[in-house]
Amino acid sequence: MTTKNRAARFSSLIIAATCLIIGVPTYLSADETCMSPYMAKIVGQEDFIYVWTVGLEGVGDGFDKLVTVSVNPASPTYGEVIHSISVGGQHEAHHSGLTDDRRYLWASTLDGNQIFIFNVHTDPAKPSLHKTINDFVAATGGVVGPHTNYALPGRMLLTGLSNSEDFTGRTALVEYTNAGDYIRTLWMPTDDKLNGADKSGEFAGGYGYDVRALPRRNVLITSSFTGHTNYMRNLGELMGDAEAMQNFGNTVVIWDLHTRQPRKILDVPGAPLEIRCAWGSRHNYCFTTTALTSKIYLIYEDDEGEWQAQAVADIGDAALIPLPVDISISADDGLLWVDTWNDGMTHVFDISDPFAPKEIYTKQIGDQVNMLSQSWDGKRIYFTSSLLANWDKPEGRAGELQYFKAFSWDGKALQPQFAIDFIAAGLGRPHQMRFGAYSLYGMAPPARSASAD
Amino acid sequence: MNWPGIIMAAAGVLAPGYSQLEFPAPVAGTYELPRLWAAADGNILRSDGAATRLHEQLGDKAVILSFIYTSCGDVNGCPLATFVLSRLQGPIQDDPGLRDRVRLVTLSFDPQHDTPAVMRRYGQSFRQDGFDWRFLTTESTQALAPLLDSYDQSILREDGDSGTVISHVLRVYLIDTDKQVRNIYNTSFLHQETILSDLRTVLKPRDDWRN
Repeated sequence: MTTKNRAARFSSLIIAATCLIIGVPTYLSADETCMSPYMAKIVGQEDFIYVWTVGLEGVGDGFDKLVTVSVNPASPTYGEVIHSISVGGQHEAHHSGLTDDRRYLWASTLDGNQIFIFNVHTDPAKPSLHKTINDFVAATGGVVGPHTNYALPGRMLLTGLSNSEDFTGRTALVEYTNAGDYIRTLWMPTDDKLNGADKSGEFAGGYGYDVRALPRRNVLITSSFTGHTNYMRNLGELMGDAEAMQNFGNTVVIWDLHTRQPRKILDVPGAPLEIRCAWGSRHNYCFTTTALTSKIYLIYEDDEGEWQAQAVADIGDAALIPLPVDISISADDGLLWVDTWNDGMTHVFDISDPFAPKEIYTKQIGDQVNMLSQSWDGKRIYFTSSLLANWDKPEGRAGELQYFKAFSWDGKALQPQFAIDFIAAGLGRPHQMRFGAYSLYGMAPPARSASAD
Repeated sequence: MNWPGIIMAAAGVLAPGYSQLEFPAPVAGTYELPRLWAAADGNILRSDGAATRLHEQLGDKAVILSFIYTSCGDVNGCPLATFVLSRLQGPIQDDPGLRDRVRLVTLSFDPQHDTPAVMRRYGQSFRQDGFDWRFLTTESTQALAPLLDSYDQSILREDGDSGTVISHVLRVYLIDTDKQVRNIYNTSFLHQETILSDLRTVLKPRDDWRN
């Protein structure tokens, strides 16, 4: 190809791409909607879900483990646990996250402070332990409770929940390279060390929980939960301790994504937890829910370019302490799924007007419910049950206490597809789910043997 | 094929690097870019065919290093990287604090197709006269592999009747004068304005351009 032709081809690509800009975006089938925008995406049906599972004494080996569930209906093992890898001990396995190239899954623990890095690309059906980070607290200068593992280009951004000085909720963001080498610690802004942040309201406690990025607006958004002294304590005892119940987060912090500097602290009282940001190219907002006050908050950029927080809906009856936990936004920004742990319910809100969410569907999923993940096309929804080892209900109906459940969603109702009782299966308490697929790595599923037909 | 770019293109969205930055560019020198890792060395070929080492090509400059392949058809992938790099040339030449201190390096991860001659012709389309932008390749996929590994670039190659498609996550690297990787940009955050701020941040100001 001549130089002239190549330059012309380059220009034509720009022109063709410009012509592609349309009012209503179309989407490829891809994976769940909660992932970092920097990540590689699954095209088509997911093959596996990796479930980061908390060990439960007396159940199987009692250890934390990564469980692989086969979820492709075309697979002969559909609906089955096909692999499990224990990491030894109970460390309060909690959340996990994939690197931007989806080759590795980082899975962290809130009590042991380890980060287990699993290789999910060599054989997506059988993850293997690649590396363990055992010096997180020392390396980070005292951050405790690595929670969210969030992909940035070539790096991972982790949120902490606590600190090794007093084990309260004062904590930090931490950056690592994809290879697992520590880069830096970014302490959350507090009253005595705002680090340039504008404290817009009453609170600046320095607490953390989740993080999400909106690259097109150059923002990172973090939420706030509670520290080690609370999250590792028995829930009943904790709720009876009025002083301890004061030690929950009340803020959402807006950061400059590029410079990693906090810009503004917003009051969001009542422990705002998961954050999910809209996908539309002009939708400059995110949602969070408050665990203690049972509200949906909209975190949005106003017409003057200022970020604000506004309570926009109630979730159930706050007096009954439904305890909103995981949330998920649909790829078209039309629906927000909200799980309430205490009553085991899922709630679907129409968020076509993000300032006025309307609940349009509810369903009991189990005796308790926490995490949910949906496919990019929104047709498959998955739930798991565990919240924290010392908070989970100790007893419940068989199959309804610690489970993995798969549903289809037709826009009107959830239809059950299959369920796995994680206690009966000797696995433990299932928590975070992440999708895997052969297609990400240029692989095809293994051929079925003739005898299988 | 750049996976996040494919999603953006399918949604009818061009990557931010093709248009005006939608937020104020970061102010150089007001933030930190910590060292991420030492930029790896390796065997490469210059566009005149001469065999050399990547570190020799990085030299003592601040470098923007981009991995591409010339037959890439994903508008939000390799063409984006080359477009953004091409847009850096003018501002760098116009800035006494950057002129002669910055080098652009484009390295192919398709040595089978992107021979030195192909890279030379490719570069002629984009390099402004006299600008220090080097277009490199490697002898073979075996020579390329350790470089990709050290820069954490994984690729999937599919050779078909209609040509080669190489799937990857687009990454462009900022490397400082000590050959340390200081930032990594991908489709969502690759823009000339942010790169210029980062270059000014990592390069110590010279006394002469302050006056």
